[in-house]
Amino acid sequence: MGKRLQATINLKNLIDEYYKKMFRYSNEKRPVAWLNVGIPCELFWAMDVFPFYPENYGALCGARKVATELSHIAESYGFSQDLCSYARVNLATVLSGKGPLGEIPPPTIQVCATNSCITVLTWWRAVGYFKNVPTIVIDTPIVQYDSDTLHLDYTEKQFRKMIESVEKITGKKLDLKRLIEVTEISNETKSLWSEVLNARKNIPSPINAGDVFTHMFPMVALRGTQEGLIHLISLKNEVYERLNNPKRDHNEKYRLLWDNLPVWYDLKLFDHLEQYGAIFVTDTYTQAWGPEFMGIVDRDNPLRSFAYFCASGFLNVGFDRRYKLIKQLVDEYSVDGIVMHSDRSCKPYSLIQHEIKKKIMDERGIPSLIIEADHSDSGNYSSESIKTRIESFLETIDCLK
Amino acid sequence: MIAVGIDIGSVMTKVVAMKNRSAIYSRILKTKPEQKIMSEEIKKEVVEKTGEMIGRIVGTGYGRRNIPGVDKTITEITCIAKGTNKLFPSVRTVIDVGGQDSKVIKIDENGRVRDFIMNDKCAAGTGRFLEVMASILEMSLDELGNTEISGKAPVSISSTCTVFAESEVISHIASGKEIDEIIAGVHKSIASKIASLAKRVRIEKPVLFTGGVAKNKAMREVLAQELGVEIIVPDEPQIIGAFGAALIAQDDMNS
Repeated sequence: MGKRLQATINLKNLIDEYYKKMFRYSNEKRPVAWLNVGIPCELFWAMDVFPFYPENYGALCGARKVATELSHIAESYGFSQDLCSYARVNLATVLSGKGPLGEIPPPTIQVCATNSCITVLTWWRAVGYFKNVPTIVIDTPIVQYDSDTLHLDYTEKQFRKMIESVEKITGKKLDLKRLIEVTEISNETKSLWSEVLNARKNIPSPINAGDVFTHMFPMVALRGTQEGLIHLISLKNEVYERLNNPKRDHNEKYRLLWDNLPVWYDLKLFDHLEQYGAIFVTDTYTQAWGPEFMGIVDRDNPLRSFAYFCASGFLNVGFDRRYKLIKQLVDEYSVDGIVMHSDRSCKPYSLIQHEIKKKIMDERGIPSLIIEADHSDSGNYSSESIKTRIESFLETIDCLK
Repeated sequence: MIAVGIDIGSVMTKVVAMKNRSAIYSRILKTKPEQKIMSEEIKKEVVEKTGEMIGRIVGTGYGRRNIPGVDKTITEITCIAKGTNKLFPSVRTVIDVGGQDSKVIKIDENGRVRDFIMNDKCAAGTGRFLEVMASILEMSLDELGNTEISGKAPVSISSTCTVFAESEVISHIASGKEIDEIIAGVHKSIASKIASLAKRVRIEKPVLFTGGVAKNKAMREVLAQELGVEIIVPDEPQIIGAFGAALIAQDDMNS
């Protein structure tokens, strides 16, 4: 496999253009909203309010290897080193003006949902406090398996109120016709994404995790935009060209599943493991934006669909649902082993890994390895010991095969 | 023709040369910073001492990629399992504590790894912890390990961080605690850390204790207590990984 997709290389441009656009909005005094990943960008693109995702920014800082330095800045302001590194990185930029993009223009408004963690709640409030910006919170009680009518009514009602407030604060109106146009583009983008993920079911898989994880950027922030759609078309085409190329590499020996966020500052780990024939053919993280958790928006009732994605988000559901996805991925993607990243910065994601490890071994005979790291802060990361653990794990899979 | 296993650990390097599946040479030396040069010297010495040509080399340990001319690299986990199965075929769990990491390996009757777990990236629960403690107690590692601690009430060392534990020990010394009780506390602290790691993979008997730290008598006693099971310690607990590597080299030569 080896070579990165051209689409992955082109991402840099796409990301640069996205951030340039944010600065343009700010210079022209057009509204910018800071959102967490539970809040659909489609609504904001439709209202012409620029959606900025601090979590995406945290991943960017991780991948550009500046997150640890920024984390130290946040810690010098008194934030604990046990706080999520995405939060530390973002707060460091808010407070010091430092970061890969320099000073980031303050938001006009902030919205967050509690569907991924409670950290976002206090993090958004902290930014709201420092920048004197109104903050809207969408409360999403944890769902045992799937959201019911009560959950959906409650979330949808909050979305309606949120839209009213955003309209009032930004002066922008939500035009339903425009929203439908945006959601149609978004639906098409998500279908393309599902096709990209599905291509990995082939043996051997045409792509490894490095090319997939980086595409979380357009999947989080550019759904519903032309540039996002065009990018996904070229990504999908390239993946299928590679898949249908009879001369492509066939060195796949182990088909692995990655659980949790990637280690952004060490995406090279996936390249390193390729020399042993270890390919990550699926993962739970990008699947959280896949068909199971983020399906097609109903054009007759888009708010209800958004309420559903928010209330039944991947980190807002209980063990059984999470386990069901993993079992399904193990079966559909012919997985030989699971590498679970126990992520210091994402405890809701990491908490149940030991249980999943036991159950998937008992029910499917599939071994799992738990490695400890952090998605953005490399301060406690030891690349060599992680490699040794994974190499040992591959040898264990050999024993079990 | 001989099969050679070289295990380059963070503190010690272990070498085993094998002919017809029997070890005919072994050596343990301090790991040098220039691991490539050290490996060349090792190879030369093996040939001189055994009077045999090297057929195949398997490298293991954290320096396994730094052996010039190595035919294969395998991680310590698999090598220890392989070596254990040959020498102690009934053993189902190995606890290996080395200079910078500790690992627990579960193996089946064929010497295959069923599951394993390693310590977090931290010196607590490793040989390094004992080295630091020996140094502040102004003792050698042997003196520390040979101290008679049975019947002593261990002082409490609550921090899992080696640096913080160091200051706890210093304050115990300053407050006039009996040295043997401090030593008992040091061993209890590391043993409970290892035991909690071991319990995570549900240990099965019999249990083998290997690695440099297994040479420490006090550690063996306290660890057995913490785990609540008897532990077996090989005569030479450090060499088992290199022995397993040599076995793999031998198998490859024969096939």
